[in-house]
Amino acid sequence: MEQLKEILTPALFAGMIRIATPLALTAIGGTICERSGIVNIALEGLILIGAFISVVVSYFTGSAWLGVLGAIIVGALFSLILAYFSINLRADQVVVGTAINIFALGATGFLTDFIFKEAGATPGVAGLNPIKIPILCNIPWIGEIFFQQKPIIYLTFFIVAISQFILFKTQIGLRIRAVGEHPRAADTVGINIYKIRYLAVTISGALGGLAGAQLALEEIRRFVEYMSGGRGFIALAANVFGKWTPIGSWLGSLLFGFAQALELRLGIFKIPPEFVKMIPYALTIIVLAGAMGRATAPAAIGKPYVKD
Amino acid sequence: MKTDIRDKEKNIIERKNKNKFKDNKLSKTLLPMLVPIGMIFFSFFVGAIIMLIFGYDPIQAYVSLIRGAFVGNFNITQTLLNSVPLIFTGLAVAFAFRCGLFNIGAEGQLYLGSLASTYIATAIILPAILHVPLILIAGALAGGLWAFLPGILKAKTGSHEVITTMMMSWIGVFLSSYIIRNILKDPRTDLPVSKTIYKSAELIKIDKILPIPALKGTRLHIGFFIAILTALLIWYILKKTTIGYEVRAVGFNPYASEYAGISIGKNIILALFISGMLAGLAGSVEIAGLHHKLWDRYSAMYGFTGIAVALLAKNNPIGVIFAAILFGATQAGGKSMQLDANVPVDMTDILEGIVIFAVAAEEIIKMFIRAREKRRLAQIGTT
Repeated sequence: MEQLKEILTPALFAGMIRIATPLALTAIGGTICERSGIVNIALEGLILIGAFISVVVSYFTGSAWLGVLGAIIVGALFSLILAYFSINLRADQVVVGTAINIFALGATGFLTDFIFKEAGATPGVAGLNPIKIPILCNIPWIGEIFFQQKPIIYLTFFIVAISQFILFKTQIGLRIRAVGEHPRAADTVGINIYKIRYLAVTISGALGGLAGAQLALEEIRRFVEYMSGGRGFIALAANVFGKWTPIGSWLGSLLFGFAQALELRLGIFKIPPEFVKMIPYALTIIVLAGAMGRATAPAAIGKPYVKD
Repeated sequence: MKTDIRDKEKNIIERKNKNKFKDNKLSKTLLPMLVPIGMIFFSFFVGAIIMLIFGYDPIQAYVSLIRGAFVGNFNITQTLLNSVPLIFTGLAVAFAFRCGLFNIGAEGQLYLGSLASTYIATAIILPAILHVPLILIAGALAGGLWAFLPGILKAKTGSHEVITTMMMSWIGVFLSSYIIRNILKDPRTDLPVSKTIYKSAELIKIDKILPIPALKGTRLHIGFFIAILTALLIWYILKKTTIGYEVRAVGFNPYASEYAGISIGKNIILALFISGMLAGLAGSVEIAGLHHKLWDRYSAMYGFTGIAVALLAKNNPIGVIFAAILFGATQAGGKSMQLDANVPVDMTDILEGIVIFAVAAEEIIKMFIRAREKRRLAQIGTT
C-alpha cells in the first residue's frame, strides 16, 4: 500500500498526459483519415517530418510557435502525397504509406546532415514552456496533472473534443463517415468523395505534423534521427483500440501513456520494461480478437473509389 | 493451282502465327523484367535530381556507390551478405502478397526466428549435420508461429492483417529484447547480447568448401545458397503445387476460389504461416551464418526493406533474389558514397522510398492500359 502511494503521484498522471499527447493527436488524425476510407500507415513518417520541420523553423526564426505552424503546414502538404496516390492514382494505400515512412526517414536524416552538417541530431532550439493556468493550477492533484502543462497539450484537449463533435454531430462529419462506409451511396446523394477524402487525409497530416512538433519542441527541443520511435504505429493501435473514434483514440493513448509513465517507476514491482512496452500492441490484438466487443473498421477502408 | 495458292496462304498465316507466338513468349519473359529495371533507373534518376538540388555530385555519388558495392572481393561479399536476409524477408512478403495478404510484420518474425535459433544453438551440442538443420527448422517454426496468430484472426474475425502483423511485430521486438537481456544473455559482458553459438551450429563459410580465390578469407557463408534454394523452392511451390495454386487462387479472387471449393480461411492461415517461416529463416541464417550471437535490435530494418524487395520483384521469387541483391548493394555502397562523395548515407533510404513510390505508380499505368483496352473492346462490341 505504501508502495502504491509512492507510485500513484500527480507527477505520474501528469506524465501520462504528456506521453499520451503526441499519440492522441496522431491517432485522431488516423481516425479521421480511416473514417473516410483511407488507411494511413504513414503516420510514423508524418510525425517525423513534423518534428524535423518544427525544429528547423524554430532554429532559423527563433520562434517555437512558427515552428509549430510550419510542422502543421508541411505535415498537411506531405500527406497530399498519400492522398494523391491513393485517391487519384488508386494505388495500394499500405504500399504508399510504407514508401512515405521510409522516404521520411531518409529525407529527415539527409536534411539534418545537409543543413546542420551533423549526423543524427540537430542543435537545441527554442521550445515551448509550460503555462500554469491561474487559479486552476493550484487545485491539489488536478492542478498538477492538468493545468501546469505545455501549450500543445492544452490544445490537444480541445482537438479531442472538437474532432469528436465534428465527426459525429456535424454534416461534414457525417459525410466523412459516409464516404468511408459506403462511398457509392454517398456519391449518389451528391457528396464529392475525392474532396472529402482529400480533406480527411490532409487533416491527419496536419495533426501528425503537430504531434511531431509537440515531441520536438515540448519534449526534447531538438531533432534526433528517427525520434518518432514507433509512435505512429502506437497511434495506429490507439485508433483501433478506440474503435475509430477521437475520444476512444484519446482514451487509448492515455492508457498507453499511463503504461509508459508507470514503466519509469516500476522498478519497485520488478516488472520488466519490455513487457510494459508491449501493452499497446497486445491490447490491440486482444481488441481485434473480439474480446472487448466488436471492433469493426470502416467498410470501404483501403478501397480506392472509382467514379463511373 | 488454286490449292497451291491456298497452301501458300496457309503457310504464310501459319508462319505469321508462329512469329506472333514467339513475340508473345519473348514479351512474356522480357517485359516483366524490363519494367522493374526501368523503375530502378527512374528512381536513381530522381535521386540524382535530389542530389543536384542540394549541390552534391550525383555522378561521383553513383560511381562510388557502385564501387562500394561491386568492386573488390570485400565489397562484393558485403553486398551478397546484405542480400541474404533481404532474400528471405522479400520472399516472406512476396508469398503473403500472392495470397492477397500484406505481411508488414516480417521484422518481428525475423526476431522470433533469431531467438529460437540462438536458443537451440547455445543450449545444446549436436553434430553439425543435425545441429544446423535443427536451428533452421526452429527459426522457421518460431517465425511461422508469430504470423500464425494474425492468420487465425484474419480468418476468424476478419481483422486486417496489416494491423495484426504490425502489432505482433512490435511485441516480438520487445519480447526478444527481454529474452536477450535476461535469458540468453552472455554473463561475461554488460552488453545486450546473447552467448556465442556453438561451432557446430555455424553455417560453413563458402571459402571452406569452394576453392574460389576471390572468396578466400571473406565472411560469405552458405546461407547465401540456402537463400537462393529457398527462392527456387518457393517458386516451385507457387507454380507447380496444389498448395501454391490454392494460395494464388485465393489471392486472385477469394470468392471465386471459395465457389470452386478452395477454403479462404485455410489458405490465409497457411500463407501467413509460410510467410512467417521465411522471415524467421532470415533471422536463423543471420545468426548461424554471420553474427554467431544475437544482439538486441540487430536487424537493419530487414523486415521493412523486404517489402520494397517484394514489390520491386513483383512478388516473383526469382525476382526477389535480384531485388535483394540490388538493395544489399545500395546498403553496401551507401557508406562509400558518404565517404567519397559526401552524400549523406540517408540517401539510400530516400532511394528505397522512391522505388516503392514508383512501384505504387506502376500499378496505375497498368490500370490505365487495362481501362483503355476495355474501352476499345467495348467499342468493338458496339460497332
